Amino acid sequence: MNFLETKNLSKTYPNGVKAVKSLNLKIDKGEIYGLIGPNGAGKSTTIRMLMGILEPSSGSVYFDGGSGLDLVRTGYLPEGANFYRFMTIREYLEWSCSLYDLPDCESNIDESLDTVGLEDLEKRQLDEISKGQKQRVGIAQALVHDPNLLILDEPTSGLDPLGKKKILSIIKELSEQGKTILTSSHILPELSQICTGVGIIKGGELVLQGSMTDLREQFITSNVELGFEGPVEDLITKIEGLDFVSEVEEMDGEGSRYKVRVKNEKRAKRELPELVLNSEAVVTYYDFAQVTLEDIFIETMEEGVK
Amino acid sequence: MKIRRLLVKEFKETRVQGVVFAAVLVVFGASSVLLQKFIPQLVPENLAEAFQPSLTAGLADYVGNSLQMGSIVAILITIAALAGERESGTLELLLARPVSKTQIVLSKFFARVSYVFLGNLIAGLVTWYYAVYLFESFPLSKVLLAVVGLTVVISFVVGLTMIFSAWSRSKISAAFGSGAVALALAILPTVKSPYDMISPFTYGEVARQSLLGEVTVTGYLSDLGAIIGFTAFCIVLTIMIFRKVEKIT
Repeated sequence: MNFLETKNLSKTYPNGVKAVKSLNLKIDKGEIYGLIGPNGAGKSTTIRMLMGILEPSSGSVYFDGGSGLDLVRTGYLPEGANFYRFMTIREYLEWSCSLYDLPDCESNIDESLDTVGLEDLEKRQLDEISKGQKQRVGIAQALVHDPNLLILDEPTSGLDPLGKKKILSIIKELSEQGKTILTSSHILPELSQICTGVGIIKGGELVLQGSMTDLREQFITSNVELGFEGPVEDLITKIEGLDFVSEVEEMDGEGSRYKVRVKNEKRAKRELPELVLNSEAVVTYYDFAQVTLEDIFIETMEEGVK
Repeated sequence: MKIRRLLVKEFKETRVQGVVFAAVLVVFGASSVLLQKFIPQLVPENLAEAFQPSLTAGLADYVGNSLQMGSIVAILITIAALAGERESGTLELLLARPVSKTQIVLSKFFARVSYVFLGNLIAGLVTWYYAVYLFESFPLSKVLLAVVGLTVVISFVVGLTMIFSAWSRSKISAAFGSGAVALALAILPTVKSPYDMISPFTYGEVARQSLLGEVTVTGYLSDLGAIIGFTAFCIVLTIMIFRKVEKIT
């Protein structure tokens, strides 16, 4: 069993909206798992069900071999989190930590502040800090009881590029400390830099899930765009017959522009130009481009997984 | 004790409202006795004869004013208890802590009840001081019994408002809901109705009666017990609603 797992987790709101449909998440220990999907895909609903804040309509959550999430071992940052404005950063962390019955909160608080780089602002009132600092306080409060699992809902939402970079580096650092992290976003490029596992959610359904390495191997291919003058039917038939070519698509409807999707980048780079140049076709255009995970994400969002 | 830590946070968060509550009660409580004494000097001479300053009437006014104003301010300091946290987005994090919804509701209720008690105690002592200073010696114990009575009745209003605060998404709807129900329950004892027994305000008269020595110990305790029963019902209902609302939406 995985460190965190859901089985057929579903949520239908009282108004009949099916927000999450039979979700089977699998997250390993020490993983940074990115739950990715467009706005309204069901990410926050899923996370709120994991946290036990929202009751699933059906399905179960398993954490470290047991049923349901252990809140004492979990740190949580909700999307657009707000804190008690009448407290200072340190007071808030002290209060948060005190709810976990720990013997020594002071060192935990110092460590959390140090991790998010807010040691100098600990006496600042919570209504006097910027959005980026607020997100860092959010991570600090999630860390203050030294949890094994961190659940961060859209931690980079609304931040400027520098703020995003800071948050992502904090997440990476926490993973290096051995924490398992589930984070969500609607922007894949952000998370693909740090995630080791990914789940793509669309319309409440998990349409793709796996380790980043597997997904890259499985999905990342290359495209070659070719342009010709004159008839090239014979050449296209030959290209389609190559074992490293998965698909040839006519782009302009006139038989002069084609997109070739290849499975083996090395062989395509070596053998395709050779084949084209040895034919009688007049080549007007040749472009080689890698399909990234971002392209897969966009394709998945537009069409669903093939 | 997690509830103690939740209480500390509630005390800090609502301290301004607590001071406002006490100030309102002091102003309206003490002014009842002051007005009773000085109205004859404030109105024209031909009308002054109609006003006979009386400590009993002043103390009765004190209880009435404290009950009315205390109930209104109690609604105002309670509407934000859960609806405010929900509105400001702090509730999500609170629910992610290892604390139960019962602990959350109880901490919010008892923090406000503490302010209700303190406000009433201060107002009662100020009123007693002026009563003795302007009129004649009066037993402090009776004032303290009235303070307890007022606290119990106003705590019911706090409990009632908690229900709407747990139910509502906004403070305004919580205020309207609890205000309307509190008003209806307050009107019920004033009209001849077989249903007036279901209003806690029917038993609220005990605060005035205890101050004026018109109630037996048994009557005092049974009336207070009835109001505490109503309040406990409100809190249980609040916990049930809070659990349900937060779990499904």
